[in-house]
Amino acid sequence: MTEIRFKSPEEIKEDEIEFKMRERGPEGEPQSGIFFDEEIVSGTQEKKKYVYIGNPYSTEGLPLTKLETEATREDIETIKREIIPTKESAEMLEAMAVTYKNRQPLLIEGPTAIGKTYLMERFTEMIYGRGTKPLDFYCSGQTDVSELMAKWVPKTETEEEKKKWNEFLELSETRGKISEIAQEVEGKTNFSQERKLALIHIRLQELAKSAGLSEETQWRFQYGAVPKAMGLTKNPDGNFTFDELNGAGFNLHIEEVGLAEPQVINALLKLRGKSGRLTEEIQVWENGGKKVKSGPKFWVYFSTNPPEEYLARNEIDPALARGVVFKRMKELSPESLYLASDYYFTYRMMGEKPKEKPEGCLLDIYNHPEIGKEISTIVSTFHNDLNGLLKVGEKGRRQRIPLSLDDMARVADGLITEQARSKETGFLDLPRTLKNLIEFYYLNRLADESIKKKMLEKLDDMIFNTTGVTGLVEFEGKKITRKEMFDMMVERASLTEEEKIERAKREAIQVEASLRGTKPGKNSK
Amino acid sequence: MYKDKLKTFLNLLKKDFSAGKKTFDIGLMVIEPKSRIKKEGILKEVKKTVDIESLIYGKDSRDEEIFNKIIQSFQRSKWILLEITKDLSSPMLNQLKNLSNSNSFQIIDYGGKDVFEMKMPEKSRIIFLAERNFIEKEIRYPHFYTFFGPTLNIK
Repeated sequence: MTEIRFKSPEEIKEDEIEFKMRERGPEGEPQSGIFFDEEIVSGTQEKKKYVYIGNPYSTEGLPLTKLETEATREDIETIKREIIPTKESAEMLEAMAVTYKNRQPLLIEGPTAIGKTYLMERFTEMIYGRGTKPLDFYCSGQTDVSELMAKWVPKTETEEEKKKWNEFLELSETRGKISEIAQEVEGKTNFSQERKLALIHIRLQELAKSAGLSEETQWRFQYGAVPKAMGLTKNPDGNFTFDELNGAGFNLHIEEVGLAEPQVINALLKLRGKSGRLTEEIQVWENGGKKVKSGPKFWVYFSTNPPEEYLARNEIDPALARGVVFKRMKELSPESLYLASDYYFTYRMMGEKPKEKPEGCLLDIYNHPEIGKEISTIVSTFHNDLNGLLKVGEKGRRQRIPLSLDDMARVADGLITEQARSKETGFLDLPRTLKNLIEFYYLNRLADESIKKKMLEKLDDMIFNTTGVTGLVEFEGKKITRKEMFDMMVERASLTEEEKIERAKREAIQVEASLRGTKPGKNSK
Repeated sequence: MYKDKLKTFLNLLKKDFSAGKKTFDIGLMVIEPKSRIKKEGILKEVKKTVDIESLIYGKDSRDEEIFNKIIQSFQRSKWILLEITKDLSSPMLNQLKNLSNSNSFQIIDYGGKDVFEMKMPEKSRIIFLAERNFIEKEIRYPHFYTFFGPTLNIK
C-alpha cells in the first residue's frame, strides 16, 4: 500500500516561493530569484523578516537560501527592480547567499561588465536594508598591509609637522623598518601584550628620532579594514560601533584582489578558518598581539578581474584560491547583454515614470518601448563590437578600458535629457542624440584614434547604411535605413492623437488620389 | 565647438534624473596632446555654468588634506574640479572608487567615527582633470577610465 505523505507547512511555503520565482518576464526571462517573507517566532511571538534567494535559471529544482534580514518588504521590492535578472546575476547572487549563510569567504573572478560590485551592494542592502553599503576595500599595486590590518599613526598638531611625517611614512625604507619592528615584536613570545605594546612604542620613537622627527610624538593605533569589519556592529541609527571581542561583524568587500602584492595576500590568508569557513579570530601584532574576534555576521567577499584584464599579472594566488569558495565567471552572454540593454532602453528599471517631461526632453522616450527596442539593438551591437576591439587592446597602452553595463545605462539616461532637435522636422533628432552620447560615454576615453574612427564608421553604417555593411532594416514591409525608421517612429510618437487623425486623413486622401490618378487637393473637399 | 561640448558635458553631469544608473557620475576632462586650451581657461568657462572650486592633487598633496578639502566643498554643496598631476595613492584610489560606485566617502577612523560615511550632496559633483599623456604614462591603476561617466576631450 502506498503511503501518503502530507507536505509540512515549510515545504508548502517553499513550493509557493519557488512557483513565484519561476514566473517569467516579457522577454521570457525569470523575474528574479528574490523573495521577502515574515514569520512569527512561536513562543516569543517576535516577528522576524527573511529574504529567500535562489537561482531561477536552475534547471534542477530551486534550492533556496533563507537569510534573516533587517530590510523591509519595500526595500526588497525596490532592490529586485534594480537587478537585471540575467543568468549571470542569478548565479552570483546565489553564490553570495549560500556562502554568507555558511560563513565562507567567496571570491568571484570575472570580467568588469558582469556586476560583481553592483550585486554585492544590492546583497548588502538585502541583509541590512536600503542605503547600507558594505565596507569596501580596493586593492592596487600600491596597497599596504597596514591599510588592511592595522597601523600606528603619529598624532601631529601643525600642517608642517603632518607634511614631514607623511613624507617620512611614505618612504619604502620606513615601511621596511616598521615591518622589522613587527617581526621583532612577534618573536617575543614570552612577552605579555602590555610589554609588546611598550616595545612597539620605544621602537617607533627611536625610528622617528633617527629620521630627525620629534621622539616625543604620541602615536595613535588604528585598525585596518579587516579587523574593523570583524568587530563592527551596524546600529539602528545607521552608524557603526566597533568592539574587538563582541562586535556583530559586517560585510567586507575586497575588490581587485588580483592587483594585490604578495605581502597583502599573505595578510589576507589570515582570514582562512577551519573547514573552509572564515577564521574565528585574528591576532594583530601592531596591537601587541591582541586578538580580534570575528563577529557572527562577519563575511568577506573578494572580487577580481581575470588576469588578462590586468597587464603582466598572474593568476590569483593559489593559496588564497584554495581558502575561499572560488567562482569563475565568464563574460556576459550575448543574450544577457541584449536583455540588459533592453531593460535600460525600454526604461523598465525606471520605477515611476515622470508625469512631466524633464528639462531637455523633447520626446518622452521612456513611454515608447518600441523606439527603445531599436536603440537597444544599436547600442548592444556597438558595445559588443567595441568590447571585442578593446580586448585586443589599444596599441601600447597601460590603461585598459573594460566596458560595463553602466555605460549603456548612462546612454539610456542621457537620451532622456540631452535630446537634440532636428532642424528639418522640429522633432527629436534621435541619430544625432545617440551619436553624441556614445561619444561622451564610450569613445572619448579612447586614446587610440584608429579604434575611435573604426567605431564611428560602424555606428554610421548601422544608422545611415553608409557603407552598406550592416544593410537596411525591414520596417512595415519596406527596406529602409535605421535613420529613416527612427524619423518615422519619432514623428509618430511626437504627434498628439488629433494630429495623428488629421495625418491619417491626409494620407488616405493621398492614396485615394493616387489610385484615381489625380493630384490630392482637387477632390479633397 | 569646445564650448558646446563642455555645455553638454556639464549637463550630463548635472542631471539628477536617473532611469538606469542609480548614482551621479563623476566627470573626466582629458587634455589631449597639443591642445592649446589652458587649464585656467577651462575653470573660467566651467564657472560660468556651475559653482565650482578647484583643487590640485599633486606632488605636495597629502591624502587626508585632499579628503578634508573635498568634504568641506561637499558640505557647501559645491562642485569640485580636481586636477591630478601625480599617481593616485591607495587611499585616494579607495575614495575615488567609493565616490564613483556609491557617491560617498567611506573612511575608517575619521572624524571621530569608526566608519566615517558621507554621501555626496545632490547638488555637488566632481570633475577630474588630467592630461592624456599623464593618464597613459603615470597612472598605474589600469582601469582608471572606468570610474568616470562622461568624458570630455579637450583638443
